[in-house]
Amino acid sequence: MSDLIENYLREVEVALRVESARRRQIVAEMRAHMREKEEEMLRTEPGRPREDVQRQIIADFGNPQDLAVAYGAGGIVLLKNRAGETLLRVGRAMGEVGRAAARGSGAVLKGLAVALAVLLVVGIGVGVWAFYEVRPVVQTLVEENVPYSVYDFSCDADGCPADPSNQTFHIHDAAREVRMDLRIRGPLEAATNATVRLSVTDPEGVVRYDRTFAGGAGARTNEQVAWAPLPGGWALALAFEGDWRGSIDVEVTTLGIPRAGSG
Amino acid sequence: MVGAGIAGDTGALERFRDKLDRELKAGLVALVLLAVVDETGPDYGYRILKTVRTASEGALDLKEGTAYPLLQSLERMGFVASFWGDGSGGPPRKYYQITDAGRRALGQGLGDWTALTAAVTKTMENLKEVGR
Repeated sequence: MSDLIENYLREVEVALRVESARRRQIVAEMRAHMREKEEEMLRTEPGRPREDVQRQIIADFGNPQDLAVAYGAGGIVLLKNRAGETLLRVGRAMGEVGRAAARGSGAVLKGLAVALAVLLVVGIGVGVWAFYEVRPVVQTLVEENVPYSVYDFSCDADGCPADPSNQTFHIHDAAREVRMDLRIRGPLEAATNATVRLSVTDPEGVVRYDRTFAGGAGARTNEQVAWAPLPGGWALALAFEGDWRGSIDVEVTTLGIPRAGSG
Repeated sequence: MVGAGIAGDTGALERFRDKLDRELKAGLVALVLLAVVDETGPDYGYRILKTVRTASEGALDLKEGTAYPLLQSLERMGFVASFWGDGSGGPPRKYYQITDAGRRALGQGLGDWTALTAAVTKTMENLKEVGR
């Protein structure tokens, strides 16, 4: 049985147009909330079907596109298609200009905001017409070459957790290429026996990557690894030994935006 | 016809109430969330929303799609700080705690709210006198 909550969270992850670390945190927070609410509702309403509970929880969060706008992808949504997907959004800078004008920050600023708004409306009118004419082609070309983050983990000199959680990522069948970017900056102290082991296993259980990095002054790694995009759940294991006080950034990206419900 | 007139009035009334509901809530929800975080100390979103519901005796049932982006806005403004904590066997949770700036904003906001409600109440009372 498909998990409606995980399907929904994948849609939200696609919709969010924010930097990858922030996107991961938003989805992680939502997941924690939804799972706790699901557990409580199933406990207090034992006869209620799980899918029914999940649908209600999802409804309380709302449409992924609207959620993405609420999380401040920037500015104002000006244009949506019939499916409710945002097609055109005015950027954050424009939003700030508009708000400054509304606060009465001066006639000059207000005039500038009005002039920009007029230019924008005219530009949008021309652009929307052209955009709809070539939209299917443009959208496909853009989406197929956008790196999409499916996993992002960072910890720094304040201390990395001994047992980081959420060490899985999902590759959809519409994705092309799986690329991992790994950056490690080891502890500055010379005398340390701290290590970090990173391993990646594909959906068929094949270990695609397994390395242990030792600590010590000046320990640095900057590595990019690419694999074929086998669809399904991949497992990434991070194990810290000793008191690791460096920094580690692991990000996994695919090319081609995964479609909701695929994979 | 009277029936058609009443139906038309109902539509306009519902739109007016929706507008009032949206515009009143827009700022107040942020104030309520800040007050809850201040009162309860560091806590995570699910419990913060439960506290709102309980404290309001069900009158304020905030939608998650509204509350979470608002918590993030409060964090961006520097009024709350967050940290990830243990999920008690489940996924890690994001905890929020109020900052000094947040306490100042809360104090100011509550003061403004008190002054506003007093002003509206006074106006309504005076209007009754004016009407006599």
